[in-house]
Amino acid sequence: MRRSKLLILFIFYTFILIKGQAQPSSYASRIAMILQQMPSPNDSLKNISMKQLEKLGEPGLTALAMMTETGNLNVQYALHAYTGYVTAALQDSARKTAVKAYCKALKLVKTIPAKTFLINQLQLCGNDVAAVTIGPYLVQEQLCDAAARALIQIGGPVAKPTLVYALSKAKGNCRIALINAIGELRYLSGLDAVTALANTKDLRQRRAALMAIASLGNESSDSLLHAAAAKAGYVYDSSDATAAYILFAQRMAENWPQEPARVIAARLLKECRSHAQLPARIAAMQIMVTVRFSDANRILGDAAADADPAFRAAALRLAARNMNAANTSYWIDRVPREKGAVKAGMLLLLGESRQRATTRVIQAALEDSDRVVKTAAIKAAGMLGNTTMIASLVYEMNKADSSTIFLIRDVLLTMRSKMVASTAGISLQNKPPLMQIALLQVLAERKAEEMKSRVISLTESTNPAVRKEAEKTLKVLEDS
Amino acid sequence: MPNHRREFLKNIAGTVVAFTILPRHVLGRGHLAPSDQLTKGVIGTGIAGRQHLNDAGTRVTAICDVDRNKLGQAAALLDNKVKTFDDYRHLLLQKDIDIVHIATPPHWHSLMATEAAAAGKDIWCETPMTHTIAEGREVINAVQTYGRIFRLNMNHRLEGNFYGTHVPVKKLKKLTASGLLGWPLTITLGPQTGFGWPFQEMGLAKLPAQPVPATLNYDRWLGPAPYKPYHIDRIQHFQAYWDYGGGVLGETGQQYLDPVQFLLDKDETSPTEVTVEAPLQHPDVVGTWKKITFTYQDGCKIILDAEGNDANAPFISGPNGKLFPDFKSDLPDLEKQLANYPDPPLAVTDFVKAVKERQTFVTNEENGHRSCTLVNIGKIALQLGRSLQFDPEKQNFLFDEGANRLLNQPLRTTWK
Repeated sequence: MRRSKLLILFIFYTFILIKGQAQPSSYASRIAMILQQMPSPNDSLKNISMKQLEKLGEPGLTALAMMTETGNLNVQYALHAYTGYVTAALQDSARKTAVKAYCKALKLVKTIPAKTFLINQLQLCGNDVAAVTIGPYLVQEQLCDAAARALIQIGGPVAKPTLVYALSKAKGNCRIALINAIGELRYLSGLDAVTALANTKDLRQRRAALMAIASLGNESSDSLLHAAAAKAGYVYDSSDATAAYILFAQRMAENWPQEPARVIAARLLKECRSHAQLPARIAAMQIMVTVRFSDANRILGDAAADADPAFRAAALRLAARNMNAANTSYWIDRVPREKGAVKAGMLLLLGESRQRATTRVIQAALEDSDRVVKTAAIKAAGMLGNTTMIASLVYEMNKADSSTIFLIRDVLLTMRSKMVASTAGISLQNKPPLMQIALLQVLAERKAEEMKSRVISLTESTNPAVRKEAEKTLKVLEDS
Repeated sequence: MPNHRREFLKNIAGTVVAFTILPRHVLGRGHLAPSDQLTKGVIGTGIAGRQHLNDAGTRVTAICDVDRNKLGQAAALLDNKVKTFDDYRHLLLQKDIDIVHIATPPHWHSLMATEAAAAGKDIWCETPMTHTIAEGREVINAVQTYGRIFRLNMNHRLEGNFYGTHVPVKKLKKLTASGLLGWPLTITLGPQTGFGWPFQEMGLAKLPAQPVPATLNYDRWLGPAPYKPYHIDRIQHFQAYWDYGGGVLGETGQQYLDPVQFLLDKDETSPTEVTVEAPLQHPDVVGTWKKITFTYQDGCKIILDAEGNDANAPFISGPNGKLFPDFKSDLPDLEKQLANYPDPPLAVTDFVKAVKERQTFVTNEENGHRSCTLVNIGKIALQLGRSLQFDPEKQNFLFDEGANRLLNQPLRTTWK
């Protein structure tokens, strides 16, 4: 009985051994068959190939991944497609198997292109297991970039400390890739390691470190980043220190409490006075609006009245993004207190808001003696699209110069109302020639047949340009 | 002193020349240079860059290229003496530049645009705006953080007829906004509607390493793209490789899609679904495709039909009618009906004016990002070979980690 059991065991073992020896050739033929179908010309054939690849299991996929060393294009097609396939929803099991296979192959392949190819696949489908396998390549000159990029995408509890550990061992380019990766992943435990490199004489490393520290956004980095930005004069320079400080302030504004961000913004607004520092000043203003949102209207209102037109414009653009019925009233009250370009900017903001409540203030500005304000009011009226302004706009044509007349024409054409054509038609007679031409063009554009008799009367105008335009308009109306 | 007057005039002439190339800010807040010209730096002096050496209202004062030959050739095309650089960061450090024109391969656009914004430059950028969706958001953030004016180089919203429709975008927009065709609308971009997708210039999957030409700084040409050994085809047909472009979709896509997005009133949103019909794609080389369909939440669709199989497909179709090239329609008296409807709102279409008056340009960082998102989600669907669901608010894919990992492709930093 015992002997027979041993015999059965021996037979079973022999069977397993033979099966095991037979596997490589069976994988080889299955893989060869799959590769023959590459690249799949359509979805259904591709799906068949992906199922066949899935059935290869870990050993078969490892064998296929090892073939990346051959440079066979169909291997690249197959593996890349399979990587994409396993990253779809509900493919967790296939994905884990693929990762294991790629990791096994990654350790076994020898060439840099093959290793890079597999790391790139793991960038797309990798998990914690992959992060462990990729770790050692973070300090290898030819692979650290690909490895660091892969770990950024993988993220998670293994990738992050792996990067910090590697940073302690890395040199040169690898160090830069790692510093950047720690910043990208916002891994706060890497802050000390990165900060230690911020005062190096190597400009490349220093630049990378400042940006990573900024991205990590820890309050303790304020003095370091502030000093670097101040040294750069709060302008763009080769150290990227100013951009880093602004990024840092933005990160602080995302945190709670936001007081540190407010302090930085206030500091920048105070210290950035020259035109060269304007980008930093604008950034600071935006951060201030973010952290003091309840006071945003006043901050933006004051900024919109600043002496620097670019600062004003930035404030108005920011205000436009936050405009609603509630804060429109602030700007409506503010407009009459301003004049010139400041008033013009605010009028455009109100027009863009499309709030009906702004009608009165825009209409009043149409009569402003300042041409800049008047032009802005015309544009604002167009943006608002309130048809009650049609008569006022046409009336303004009487006293306007040529460019304003044609601006009003264009604005009228953006308005949806039959009143556009009717007002244009009844305003044709005894008007300045350019106004008549503009109004005729409005009638032609709107194909206002009901105004034909009024157009006909202008075909006998003493002004040849008006006569010509009237004839042209008449033809359009008759053809329609 | 026989030459006194001549000397004086010579000195004056020198002063005038110097003034014409002064940046606006030198003269103080709100003042413009006497010539009223904007000073410009051009990054990338290939075909696209050279087309912008003499834009009206601007004067090129610096150019940059990683290829010394191209740089020299471009400098020779300019009447005035310009500064030349092989590193764009040195160009950005120049205080005498108001705007930068980014005419490099697409994988550089976002990085250069964000740094240009930080350097206080206004930006004119070639299409596609960015290489990934996350980069698009970074450009928006940088442009708005630093209060810059951004122009994406697309002209169809401004002038001319919209490719094979033979009609200006303004007129088409008037039609779609009128509702005469009904809603939702489907727009087909294929050879049958006047939008060809030429797949002639395909990349090569097998590229044996070649020696890098002495005149080219290849590491800086690659920049943020993954390192791959040099081969001339990567440089000459960069659009054909995923690392630098997106094939014909990347090269032509945004030029077609930006006006279409405008026509469908989708400047502030993105599709919720993309489907692709295409052969399997190589990991390095962009392949062909047959059809890409974008569907929006309200049911509007954009169909990119590369093969044009449906010969009778209209350019626009809606529940109430269809529009074909040359403004032909099955709706009676379309022109007459349309006359009662308003024109699209006025927009700033003069970039020089936009910069001087600090106004948002018509093709800007926001709508540019949205139309580039169409290109970029199309690219991701092609790379993965499957349909994808997209969240236009969060700007990420639903239930698809693989696709989400392609939203933001980490950049190579070792070149820096």
